[in-house]
Amino acid sequence: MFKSLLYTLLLQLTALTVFPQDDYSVNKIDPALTAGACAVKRYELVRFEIKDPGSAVYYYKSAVTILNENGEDHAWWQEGYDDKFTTIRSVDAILYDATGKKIRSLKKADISDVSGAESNLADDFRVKRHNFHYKIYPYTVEYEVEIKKDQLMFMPSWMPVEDEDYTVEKSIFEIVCPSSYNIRYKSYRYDGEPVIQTGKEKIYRWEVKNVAAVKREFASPEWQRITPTVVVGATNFEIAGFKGNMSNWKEFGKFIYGLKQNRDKLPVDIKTTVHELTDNVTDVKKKIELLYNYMQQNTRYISIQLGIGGWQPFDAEYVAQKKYGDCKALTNYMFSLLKEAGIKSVYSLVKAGEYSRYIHEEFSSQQFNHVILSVPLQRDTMWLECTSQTLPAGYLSGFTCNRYALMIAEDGGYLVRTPSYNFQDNRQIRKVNATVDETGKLNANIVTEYTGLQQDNLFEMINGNSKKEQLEYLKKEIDLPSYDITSFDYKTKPSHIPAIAEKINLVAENYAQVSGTRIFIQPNLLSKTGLKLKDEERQHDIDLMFEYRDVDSVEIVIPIGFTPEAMPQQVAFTNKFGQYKITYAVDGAKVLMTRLFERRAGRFPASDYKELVKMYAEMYKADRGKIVLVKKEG
Amino acid sequence: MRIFVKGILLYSHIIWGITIFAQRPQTKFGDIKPEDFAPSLYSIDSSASAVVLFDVASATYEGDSYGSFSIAFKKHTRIRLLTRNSFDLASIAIPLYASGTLEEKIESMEATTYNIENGKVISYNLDKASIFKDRLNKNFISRKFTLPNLKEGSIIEVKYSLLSPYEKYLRSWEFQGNHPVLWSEYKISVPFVYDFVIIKQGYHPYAVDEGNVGKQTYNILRRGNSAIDKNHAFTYSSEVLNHTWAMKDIPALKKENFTTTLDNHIAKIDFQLSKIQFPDEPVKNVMNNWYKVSEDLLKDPDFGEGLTKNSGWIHDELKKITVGAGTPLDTAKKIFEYIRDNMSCTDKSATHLSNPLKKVFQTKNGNVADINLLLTAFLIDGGFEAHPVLLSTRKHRKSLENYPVLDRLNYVITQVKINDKRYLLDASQNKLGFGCLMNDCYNGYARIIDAQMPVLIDLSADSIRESKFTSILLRNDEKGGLQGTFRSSLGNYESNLVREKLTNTSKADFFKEIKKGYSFDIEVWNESIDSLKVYEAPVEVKYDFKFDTDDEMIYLNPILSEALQENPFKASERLYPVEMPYAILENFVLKMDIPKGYKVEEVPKSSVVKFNENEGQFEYIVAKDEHAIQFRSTVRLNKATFLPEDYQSLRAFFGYIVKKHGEQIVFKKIK
Repeated sequence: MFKSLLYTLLLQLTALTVFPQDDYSVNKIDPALTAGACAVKRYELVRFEIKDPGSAVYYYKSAVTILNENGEDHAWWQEGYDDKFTTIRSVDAILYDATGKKIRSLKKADISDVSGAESNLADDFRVKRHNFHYKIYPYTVEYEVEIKKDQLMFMPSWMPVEDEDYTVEKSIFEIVCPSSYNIRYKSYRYDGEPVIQTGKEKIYRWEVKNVAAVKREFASPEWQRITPTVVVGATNFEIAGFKGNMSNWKEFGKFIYGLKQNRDKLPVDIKTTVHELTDNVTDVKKKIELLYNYMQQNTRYISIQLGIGGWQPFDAEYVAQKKYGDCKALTNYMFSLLKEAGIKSVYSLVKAGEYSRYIHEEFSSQQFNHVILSVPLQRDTMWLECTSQTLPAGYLSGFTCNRYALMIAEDGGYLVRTPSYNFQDNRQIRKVNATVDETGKLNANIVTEYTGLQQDNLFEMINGNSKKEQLEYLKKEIDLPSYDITSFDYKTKPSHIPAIAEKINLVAENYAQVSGTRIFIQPNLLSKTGLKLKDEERQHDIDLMFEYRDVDSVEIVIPIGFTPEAMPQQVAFTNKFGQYKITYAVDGAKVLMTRLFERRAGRFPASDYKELVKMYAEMYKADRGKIVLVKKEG
Repeated sequence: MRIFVKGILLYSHIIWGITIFAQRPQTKFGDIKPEDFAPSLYSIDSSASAVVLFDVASATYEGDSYGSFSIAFKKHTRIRLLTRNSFDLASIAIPLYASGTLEEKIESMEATTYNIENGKVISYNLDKASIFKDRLNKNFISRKFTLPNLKEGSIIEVKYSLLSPYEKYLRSWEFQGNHPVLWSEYKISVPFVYDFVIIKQGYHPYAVDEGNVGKQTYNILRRGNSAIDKNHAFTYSSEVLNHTWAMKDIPALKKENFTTTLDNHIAKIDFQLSKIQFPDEPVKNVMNNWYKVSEDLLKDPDFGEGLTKNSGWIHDELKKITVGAGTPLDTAKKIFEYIRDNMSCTDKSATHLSNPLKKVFQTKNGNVADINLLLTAFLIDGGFEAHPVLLSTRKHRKSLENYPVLDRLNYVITQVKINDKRYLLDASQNKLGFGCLMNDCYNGYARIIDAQMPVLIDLSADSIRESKFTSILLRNDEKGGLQGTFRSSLGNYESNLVREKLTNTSKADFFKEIKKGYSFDIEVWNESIDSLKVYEAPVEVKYDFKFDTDDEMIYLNPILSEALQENPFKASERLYPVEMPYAILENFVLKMDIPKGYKVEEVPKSSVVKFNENEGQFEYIVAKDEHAIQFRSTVRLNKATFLPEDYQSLRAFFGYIVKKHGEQIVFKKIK
């Protein structure tokens, strides 16, 4: 865990000082902005005033009209802060009714101040919150907040449209800095350039008016790419006495390097262990694997983020002593172990999260929340996730794969890609052998191999649960009407593309429906797509993040004396999203099904959406095909 | 298996003693031997990721320097960590309460990890610098630490003592948790000044349950405020109640579906202060009977005082709100609706006012007690007989039938009498009708706060029924397809879900979802949802639909989109009662024409099964004649709570419904 999350909180609010009279009466809103909306931002001014490379004042004032109960989430205020580098100097707020008449204002005692430590053992995070708790719609809340920041490593970004069904009448973003200071910025979905005013200070000003609501859709691109956004970054900055520059990735990398260097001293006994483990091994990859496994078995993840410790790792000696650390400490420890074995590796920053992989790669700034280790080898690079006690060496999982990472080398930062896993890496190959008797009872033997990203969740499940808990998980997970698992087994196969072999035997009473002389069987037991997309006009591109391949073959032995009366059609198609094919057959006393589904990742234009909807609708139906068997007469 | 709350003892200085067998483990700190690491699994639960070897604690009254007593709470726990998945147990947080100058303090702390290395036990102590302090909120801080050097197989041991100046609050004890415990023990030592009601719950037997009376001398210091009011030290001798409870080999308990809260089921012991008696002083009843409690609550400025003493402001507001109301029922509804629609609920768990009623009314927000006490006050002012009602919601444990223990209650509603009819009202929920309660309120006993008649109301889940009636009429249309009319009147629970859903889902999307519920393509029109805003009435969903029929064979499941597709009871065993939120009556009727040009080839068999004699019934009836088919499915469960013994038959009952709901009618084209 990195400290960045707090600072990526959206900015709210505005400076009405600019306007002579604030009129928040609801009938002043352009009806185009209220149609279908739950909240309208009336005015907002966000101002970030840089005093010097180590301090700034962050000010915002904003008024939001809440139109109905779905807008409740925009009616309250919260600000995360840390005790070391942030001081919330003042918070004022006023509640207005629909006519714009003031109802009441905030009282200091109504602001709650609670710990922000969630999974961390220790940190400086706290959260202040306030809520007027009002529900006579529509009404308007106005918050005005001033915060002192004692660092410039993190700067606010401006994203005036905060959510779906949320419109903006007017929002202004200002960066103020000494004329000698160089500020950097980049805008997305913003027409034109900021207005720049120069004098004793420089003022950069962005403004939007009458912004329509944006909709979140299935597989939408990330929010900051579909609504107006401005990100800003420092050049020279200071934090806790550490000086840096982030004009480019290289410079920023130097700063991080400065924080982490010379923290790799290992105690003697650990050094001895490193040599015992690796001196007689010649293969470098093998050495890395041995040391990685050693680190995994002898440490665990515990997060402590205090002061500069939010960005600076605990040294290797600390980890050796306590046998725990956070991502920074464990990565630095692994770095130290490898160093002792004569292997060079690189501490690397990354933004982790299965569905939040994008950074503004062309804009160097602190956008990361995690640290991993890369080990450049002669022909390729091996990546190590040091907070996991179970991942195989060299495999990154959906948490950090396929994205930019900043390698922190001695001479600065280098932006590189982490490995991406394609549909051939992410497989689910399933074979079902089953029998169905005349009562409809199914006995099935299911063998499945999952690889790559398709095994991630299962891998976590197996490693995080006892055998008994695994069984409970399976009982909830398998989508059959009523069944019992008679036996199951998992074998994990560690590799840079890991695999899991799953064997399940189950009995499902009444799996096939028996009505008089007929048996209805759905041969596709487990590989049914659950996705039914909404057929609607699409606003945004389609961003399919993962690709994979599923292959199924099913053989069900049926009772003697039954013949097919109705069969589902074969369905097959290939399109830009991948390919699909399902076949059904009856061969004597056997029902057969084969299924292939390959889905590709990528960015597709909104106009392709119709085809995607159609594809999933066809699959949904085809996956649920039923074979009707009827008893032969006589 | 016994009832939920196993028994309550009032400790009126009666001494109690049973010791079935007591093989108390040795609990000397640091006394760890290599053989302690020998077991790789424990017979109590072979798949446990950790086993608590012992968990022992004591709470002892001591004289303090505030002129009173403090409680020394000492806890000592030893855990064997078998796999990594239990390492979370080594990260410990101890919450401490503070208010004003009185704060709970940790007095001592020892924590150690033991590993076996080359046949020797090596210990790693927690260093004091690694104990962190987290200020959770205004009244709580948390002391947090994690033990170093963990390995699979490590033993960890934590022993601490804390001193609490809150002498009326005797910590409860949980014998049971997420991991199996080999020995759990709690010892109290309480001077006769304090008399506690002891509330035991759970299903595991006690290995030790014994007490005796001893003598103890307490040194108490009262600090003076000035030169004249000097510090005053004195001793106080009292008889003391010593009692020990212990359990052996307690299995882990995990939350399953249909559980109100695990807190109702774990083996646990709670203490509620009943009386305080200092020598030569009259007895101070802390816990009274419900008559006295009701009387006190109604006088309490934080509860009922404002119901009757409100200097007329309510009356002025009431006049505005009830303008134009005709009958008394009309008036009551107007009051209820005004409060429901204007007051925002900030906290759905509260038994007392957070602000005076007038302030609540002015700020237009408050917790559930604020809002429903305000409602009660308005109703009283409107001339109605109205009373507050206290209860405990389902996630908040069961209330106690006999004891007025306010901690066990967390919710206030209102009872009003209109024309001899009594209604229960809750104005804290946005979409609840007059006389309706959330299912969450049906959790056993509720208490009417009326000094004359503080009666119990039984609000059990068994007493409410989720009734749903669905009918489909299918007729041949001119084009050779089938055209249907769907009509469904939902139960209260589902009605509320639909109302919630439609606040952020469009009607069009709602019906798109419905279309998806059919296994074949249908066309839908005339969609309507009735009573969305009439919160007293069930929501009714209606639409017309049609589909084509031109295949050689038509396979039609007569229950169409309304089938129960999955057995809600997936786990193969159940260790404690199943607590469903309501009893069930689900009725589905289909009347259909035989499709033109087809004949009926086969229909599913009719069937009637009973669950536990007359606790439930499932009827699946198909009848046909030359032109039409009539079909009915009725699922009836007459109660909501079932003992673990009934679990298998409950599971089988639902399994059978799922099976029958999958069956099909077969039509064949006439050649």
